[in-house]
Amino acid sequence: MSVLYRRHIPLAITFICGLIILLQFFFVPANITEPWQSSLQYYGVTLTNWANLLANFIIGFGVVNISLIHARRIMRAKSWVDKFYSIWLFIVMAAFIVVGLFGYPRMWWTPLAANWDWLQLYVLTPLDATVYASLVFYMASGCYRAFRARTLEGAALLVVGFLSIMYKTPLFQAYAPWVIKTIDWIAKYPAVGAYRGIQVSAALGAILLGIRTLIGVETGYLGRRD
Amino acid sequence: MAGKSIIDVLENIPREVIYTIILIAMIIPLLRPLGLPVPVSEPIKKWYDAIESLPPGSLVLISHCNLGAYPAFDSMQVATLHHLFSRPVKLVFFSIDATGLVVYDTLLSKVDPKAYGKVYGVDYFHIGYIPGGETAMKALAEDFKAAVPSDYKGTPIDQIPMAKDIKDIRDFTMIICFTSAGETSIGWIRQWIVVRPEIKYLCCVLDMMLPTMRPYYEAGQVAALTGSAPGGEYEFLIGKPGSGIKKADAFTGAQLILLVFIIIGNIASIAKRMGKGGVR
Repeated sequence: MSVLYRRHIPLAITFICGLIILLQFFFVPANITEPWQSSLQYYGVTLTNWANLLANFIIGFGVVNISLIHARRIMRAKSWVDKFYSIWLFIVMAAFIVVGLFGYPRMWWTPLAANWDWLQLYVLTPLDATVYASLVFYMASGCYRAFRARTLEGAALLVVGFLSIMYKTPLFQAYAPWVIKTIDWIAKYPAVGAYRGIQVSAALGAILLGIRTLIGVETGYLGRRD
Repeated sequence: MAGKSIIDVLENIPREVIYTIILIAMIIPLLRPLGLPVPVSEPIKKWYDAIESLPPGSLVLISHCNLGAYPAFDSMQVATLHHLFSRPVKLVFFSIDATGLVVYDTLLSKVDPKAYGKVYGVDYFHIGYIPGGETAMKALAEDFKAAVPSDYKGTPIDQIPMAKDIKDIRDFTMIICFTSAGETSIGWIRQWIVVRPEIKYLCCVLDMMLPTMRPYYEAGQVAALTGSAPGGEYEFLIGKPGSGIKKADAFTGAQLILLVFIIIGNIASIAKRMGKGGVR
């Protein structure tokens, strides 16, 4: 492919789309009065809806990608044990795709609607919740090992961490209001100050990245270095 | 553990032991509630007041959580829906995640809108899942009907009575977001609150995300901010006791045990260092 297709056309599309969204944000008021504002709003809205359509497409792309990765794993695996999880992934994925295509509420023909609900309620929900809830044990074990007063910084972490756990314990909320006041103060002043610093820095970085992308200096999203 | 002193054992308690004791400390209060007091905290009072002060006919957008986070947000979401359905307001439900449709069905199986005289399509409806995250939020804000051609069951949006008057962000009075994702909780601020600061934003996140959201709350961009844990407080406040109040006892049990483990670990650590020639 020529440089025109690989580089110049994608960069031009990025520049034009980014510019339209930027202009729409800064120059289109809530109450539109001028025809050019109306046009800009229309193009901005259209681009945003295209982005949502692309997001749908990306889900399909993800399915293709994960299929390729696991097909390769199955072909290269030396034992059945190595193949097992990839084969299981294909079985579950196929089940969800088929049941989803004929059971998802928005589809045109839904003979598998009850199966779709069953899969979601009795397979996906408990699995998802179990993975999520099991974090509590890792976090408890992590707190026990990390909150040690070995250094000054460690002691500070221990005190704030200990008070934070007390703050979130209903028993202490009822009987030790000083804990609430202390942690509220920490959350309101030192923590907010620190987070604002981080967030403003990250925002400045994001603005710079956006400008670099718009003017074609940042080309990482094209997936290759030219 | 042969050859190890008691100090060594207490300094490095096996994780399996910690997991088991924490599990027991959570299960016992769930099976036999301890009846510990449930104090109503300031964030929950603000949450309650914000919903209570909604003018009649207000349009509220509810961005509910994904399936994985549902157990964490269950009590807060159910209590909030009880409160909202008891008010003369209209609700638009939105799934920011593909698994959100099940969450919506589960929520409505726990809070019956008919008990409050609410009718689907007239007082509330669900727009389903729109992929894209922040671009979906932006699309909803700019042109509601272009972003939502139909509800989650495929009914064309023009056939839903309450949707006829919804054009864009200006028609909404409040957004209520329940999420375990930072980009969602902050995304609503970037795409909605920055554009229209008049909208009240109520945000319920995982407790560990609270410090990230706190600067926005202090800046006035979030009207009420709470973690997912105090659902029991809200249930108590609106007089609809549910799973949240039971969970409050389980939280107390598990967190007390964790505090004890932290104290034991530190005592053992200090004792070991003293035995080796003094605390550094």
